[in-house]
Amino acid sequence: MLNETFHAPGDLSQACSLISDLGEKAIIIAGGTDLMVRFNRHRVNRNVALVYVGKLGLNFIKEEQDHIVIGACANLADITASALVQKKIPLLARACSQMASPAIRNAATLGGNLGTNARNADGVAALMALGAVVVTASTGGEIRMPIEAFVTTPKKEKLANGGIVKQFEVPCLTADERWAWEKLRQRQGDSRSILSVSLRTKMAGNICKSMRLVLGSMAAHPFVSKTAAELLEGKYISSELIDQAAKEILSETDPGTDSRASAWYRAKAAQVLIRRVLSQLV
Amino acid sequence: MVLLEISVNGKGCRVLVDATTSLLTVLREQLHITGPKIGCETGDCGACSVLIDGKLRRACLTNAMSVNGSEITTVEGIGGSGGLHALQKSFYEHHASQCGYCTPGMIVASKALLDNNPTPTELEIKEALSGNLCRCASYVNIIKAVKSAALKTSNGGGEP
Amino acid sequence: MKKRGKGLAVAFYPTGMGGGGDFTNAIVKIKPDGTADLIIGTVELGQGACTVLPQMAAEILGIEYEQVKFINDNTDSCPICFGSFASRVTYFAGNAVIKAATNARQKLFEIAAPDLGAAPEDLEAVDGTIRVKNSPEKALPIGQVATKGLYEKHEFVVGTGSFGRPRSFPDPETGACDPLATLAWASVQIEVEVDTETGVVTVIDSRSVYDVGKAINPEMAKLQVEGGAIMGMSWATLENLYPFYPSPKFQPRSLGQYMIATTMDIPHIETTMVECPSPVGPWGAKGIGEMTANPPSPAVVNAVHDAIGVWITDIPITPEKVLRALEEKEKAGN
Repeated sequence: MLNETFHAPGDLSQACSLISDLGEKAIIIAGGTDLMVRFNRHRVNRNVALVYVGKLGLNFIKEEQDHIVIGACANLADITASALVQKKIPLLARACSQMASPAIRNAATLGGNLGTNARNADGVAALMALGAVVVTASTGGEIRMPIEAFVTTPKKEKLANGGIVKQFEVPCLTADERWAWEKLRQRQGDSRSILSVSLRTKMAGNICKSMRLVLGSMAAHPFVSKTAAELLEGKYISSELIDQAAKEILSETDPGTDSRASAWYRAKAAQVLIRRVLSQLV
Repeated sequence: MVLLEISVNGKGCRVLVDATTSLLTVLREQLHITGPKIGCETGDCGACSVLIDGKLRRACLTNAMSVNGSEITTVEGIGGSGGLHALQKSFYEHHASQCGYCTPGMIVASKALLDNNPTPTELEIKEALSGNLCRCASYVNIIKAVKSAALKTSNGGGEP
Repeated sequence: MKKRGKGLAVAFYPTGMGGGGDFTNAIVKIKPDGTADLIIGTVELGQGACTVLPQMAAEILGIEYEQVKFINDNTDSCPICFGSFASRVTYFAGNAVIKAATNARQKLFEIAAPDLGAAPEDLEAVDGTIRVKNSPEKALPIGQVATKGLYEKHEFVVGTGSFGRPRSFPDPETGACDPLATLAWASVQIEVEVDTETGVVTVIDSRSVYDVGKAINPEMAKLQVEGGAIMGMSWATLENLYPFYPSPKFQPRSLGQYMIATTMDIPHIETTMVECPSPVGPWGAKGIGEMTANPPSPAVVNAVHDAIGVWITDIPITPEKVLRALEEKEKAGN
């Protein structure tokens, strides 16, 4: 017997109290591109209360001081097409443009990309390289947390009182900053990442002033490479240093094997992509 | 069960649906609109492509209630009483299908493209259709058909 | 580094069951309005049977393709067809349809002969009429002839046809037998680009030449060749049922895991048709359905060898196989 209910709250505080009241039964749905696969396959306990968050007005993309603020329900197509994103944080536009297929990008949200908590979430990897902050909302108020902390924090702590992701705050690239994005996939149309490497950096000539290099699909979550920062910041970027970085960064990874590629292949290819993104800087 | 009110191909529809039901199930099994096909139900094949408020979407991955109040266009709503749409004529003229299972989705995805970009390049056509699989691999003729329809409609060839 | 290479593969392909024994039956029925029903058990699964078989009946009856109704909706009541497999439909069903249509036409000739003042063997079916050879002014519309047969002479204007091949058992002494019906031929050239660092193989060019005997429907035959070219390259580079063979681990369970080529993955494609007729095919036609998927993959294997000098003979040629093969090559010092 199905015991399903559907709720479409009209504002954030209403949504937060609803989720808090519904407790364990609540399932938050936005674009539905991941969740509906599970419903279609009848794998989910149908004693559920769907809370649709598409009517909360969280699909904005706006500039606030030196940040771009993106609502959790902005979809990948809108982010790709946004002149603001293309101009101020082009790395995110590039990453979103290569995710899934056009129809999926019209539905799938950036918040959902974080919510699925996947190894290969390209949107999360790009946000991480950019140094984004995640803002969550619940009946207890708002919490702000760097995205790399968010992905490793247990759900009970980061979404206390059944909160939801509200928005991402992404610092705009400054004139002296640069970015790079490389991704390997099985085929050119509609396919998930085998792995991705992205970076945000500040360069003075060939001297690296700061380095945020992120690997996707190389561990349980996309992560910021500490080795890259330690090894490259303050240094002249030479081809020897790039080769050394590609090798040493690997020690931080824990690549897995799946239907797309083996751990062996990921380790090999990661070095190639790291070399490629770093070579774009010199 | 929850009440869903949508407009499908210009006609208002009121149906009771389960909260987790997909738009595809509602269209096919409750409204008997079978142009959108069931292919994979995982969002990978594109056979169920529809337009929701003008945007290309997967009916299989769209929660029906989440589009409450929206306007849905299926392949049945393209062309329709005005005769075949330029795209449909072009698919016919260019032999752009073999078994035909992907064709409704291909037409809908192509319509979404031409609505936003009346004169697409070949690469833009390929990108726009990259989420629609054709196992007969009639891609060469499908791309030709979309290109030719674009030329005709952008030259004022009389879109119904 | 990106390296390019070209590879060639040739193929031949027979039609129907190896060793013979399969057949197809067909019924052609002429109606009073001059149109025809083609009743046949052949299954249309997208290959074009419901187009080319009516085309063939129309050709024999001298009427338009649109005037032949293809009826295959009940395989229990329709005449038996062994099936849509082994590229056999155009050849086996086609020959059966030709026989059935010829048979029905003969009945029309016999009904019309007295009215036209000529012997049945001096008549022909052209432009929707039965007429006297070399005297086109002496003609009767087919509908009128059929009506006369049905309503006045009580003659059921129907033709039946069966076409098959006898079983051919190997001679126990020599092994000699006659196993094959018609052979189609093909030659396919593929050009690939291999990224030697990531191992990714991209097919950039595909040229196919097929001897189809006679293309009954040239556009559809070409489409089938192009479809096969894409399926073949997709098979050779993407489609992986056992990613870690022989382990069954990570077998694809959805179309999101089993990769087939999308519009973004297809190369530049060129197709050339050659018509070297089969002596036994309908108007010389052969079967090309299945074979079109076959030569692209060996051509890709050859092209990859041409590009990077290693043989990767188990498909799909995944990036991992390329990198492992290149490492082996480096270890071996050549």
